[in-house]
Amino acid sequence: VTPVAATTSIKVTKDRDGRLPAIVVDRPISAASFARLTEQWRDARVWLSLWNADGRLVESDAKTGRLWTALLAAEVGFTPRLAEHVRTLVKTCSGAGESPSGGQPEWGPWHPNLSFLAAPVRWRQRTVGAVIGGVVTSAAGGEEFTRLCTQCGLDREAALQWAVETGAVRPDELPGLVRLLQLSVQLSRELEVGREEISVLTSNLEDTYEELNLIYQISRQMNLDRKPGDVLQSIGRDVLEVSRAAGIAFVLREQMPASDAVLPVEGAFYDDLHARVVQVGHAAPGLRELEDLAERLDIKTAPPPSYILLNNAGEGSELNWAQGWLKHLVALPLWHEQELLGVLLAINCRDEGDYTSVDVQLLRAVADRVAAFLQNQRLYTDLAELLMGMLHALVNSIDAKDSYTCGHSERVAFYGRALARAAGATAAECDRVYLAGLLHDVGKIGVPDAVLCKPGKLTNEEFDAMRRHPEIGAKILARVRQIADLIPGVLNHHERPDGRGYPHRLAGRAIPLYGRIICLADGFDAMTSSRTYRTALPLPAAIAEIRRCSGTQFDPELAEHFLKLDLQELAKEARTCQGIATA
Amino acid sequence: MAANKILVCDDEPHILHVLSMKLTNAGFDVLTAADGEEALLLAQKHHPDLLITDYQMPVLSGLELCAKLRGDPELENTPVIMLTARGFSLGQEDLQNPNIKRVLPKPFSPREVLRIVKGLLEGTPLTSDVKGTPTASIPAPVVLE
Repeated sequence: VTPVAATTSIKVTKDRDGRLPAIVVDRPISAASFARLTEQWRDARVWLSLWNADGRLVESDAKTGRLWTALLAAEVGFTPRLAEHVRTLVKTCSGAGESPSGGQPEWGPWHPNLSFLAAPVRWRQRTVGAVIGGVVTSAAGGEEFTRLCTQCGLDREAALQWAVETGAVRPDELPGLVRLLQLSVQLSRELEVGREEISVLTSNLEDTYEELNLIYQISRQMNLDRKPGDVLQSIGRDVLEVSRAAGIAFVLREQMPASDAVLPVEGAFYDDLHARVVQVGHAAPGLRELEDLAERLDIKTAPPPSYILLNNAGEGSELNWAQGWLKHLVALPLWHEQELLGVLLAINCRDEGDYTSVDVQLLRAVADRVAAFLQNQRLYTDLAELLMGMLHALVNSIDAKDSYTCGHSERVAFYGRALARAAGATAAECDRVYLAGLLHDVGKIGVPDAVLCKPGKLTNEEFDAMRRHPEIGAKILARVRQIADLIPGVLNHHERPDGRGYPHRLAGRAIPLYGRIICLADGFDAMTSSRTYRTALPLPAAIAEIRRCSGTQFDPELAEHFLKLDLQELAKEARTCQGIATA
Repeated sequence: MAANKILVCDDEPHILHVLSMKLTNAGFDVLTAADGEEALLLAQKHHPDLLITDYQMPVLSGLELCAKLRGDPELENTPVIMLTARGFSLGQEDLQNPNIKRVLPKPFSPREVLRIVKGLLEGTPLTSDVKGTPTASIPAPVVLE
């Protein structure tokens, strides 16, 4: 497969010499402006007509000026002459200069009874058309007028009537009128241009506002606590609303973490594709196609400011296979500090137009932020995983001292979390209980191996040494600010509601909650695991034992919650989950 | 049914242009004013269905304008969307005026404004706009009728 190179290809239709198409002005003045002008000039007895640069009559005042309308409509008449006049006017007025020049008359008695006033319509340095004003210069009638009517096939009496309706203008008024007409056309045109420009600026400003808000919105969504997949989904939705894209997709090179929780999660594992490809809107038929597309784009080798912009994407031989669904494409690499994290794809334009560099610019701003977010997310996950890995390594090394306690801390953590959840703790609290459970025996590191691993019965001194482990553990953890809140769980997991526990002989509710939870979880695992001096209790016996010791050794309320759990299933899970937990 | 009339008031012309274009394109009748006093005169004359006003303006501020609306029996129920560059400095007591339905910090998203306007005038349920916008942290005026 030939990769699609990272170059720009904007489809613009140019002429044979490679120039952009000339600006064609079909209507030199808008209908609304022309209507205003005709109304003003009707009062001055001037009838207006609008012509474009080719000498084509665009519009004329239909309300009055029946004489003019008739003359223009006549086969032999004024239309060809006026058209020629306009064309000359356009030619001589283009370039510098405000008014018609080159000896061309701005107004003139073309006929003993009729005159024309010419006002060019200018656009920048070009003349794009003209407004021609017709006036009756003297009381119509006489020989010339009769000849005109005959020539044009007009009824003389009717034409006379129309001329009287129109009203006559004195010839000496013409120079003033033509100046006024030129000024009024120019102002009207300038006003129109000003309005158009404001409207374009306003529309651009509106887009800028939306984009600014989009970037702001995106920045706020990049919360490291949220699942990256969810963040990309909501970013995609926002981009979709502001941009012209029909679909937005993120194709990443690495899987996103399945969950924000760094603790082992039961169930809900992403498959590879769902963990790497996020699609919003109408992007592609499926995630597989998006991945294929990202694969074929040679964006990996391109330096950071590059992008791919294709407006006839499906037709390219490399992307033929996507012809059914891919028309427009913008692809931007998600770079962060020399590393390619993935690709942002904007697929197809909603308005059937083409993507331009403006679209690319907006998408780039999004891509840059997404890349930074992904990188932060990865660092965050790495750190969290490192912490968990270190904790697991620590407790495993303690558990490993005694083959009988292998995996004990992991299981206590697991039971503790299940119990906390059953007792109505929040997800965050459950995670803390899990950690407290994991670390509850960390103080055993300070208990001599001879005591810890002694197969027989312990002497009183040895028991005393053993009973110091909660306090040793609490001391060890006191140095680590981030887990200082777990200390009550570690310190108090051998206290008993009846006050016969250690180290402080606390009783009832005086024992911190974490301590009571871990005490029960610890007790349950001890009963259901084999020891040097006894084999594991069968589950029904362990349940009976918990019930019997509820209120003396175990918190009665927690025991009730615990016994409501499916302990058979829980114990099975605890023993199979360890592979994952320690991974 | 005649189009809803919306009065937009801001001393910054570009805000007027952006809002009036957005709302006109959506089919509303838009009137614009450059200060609170002009807005009040226009409101008394045209009885708009909704007022969008800036907070800080010469002659008559947005809040003063709202108070005047409140005092006019013909205008006392006009809903108001308040725009502000200092959304968070508006005191709780400033927002007690029941006409003020929403406060939007500048720069706002014109799309969002349109969505809120439609919500207030046509009863379209507000969905995503409440979520997450900084306005959500200003408790009083989010309540809709």
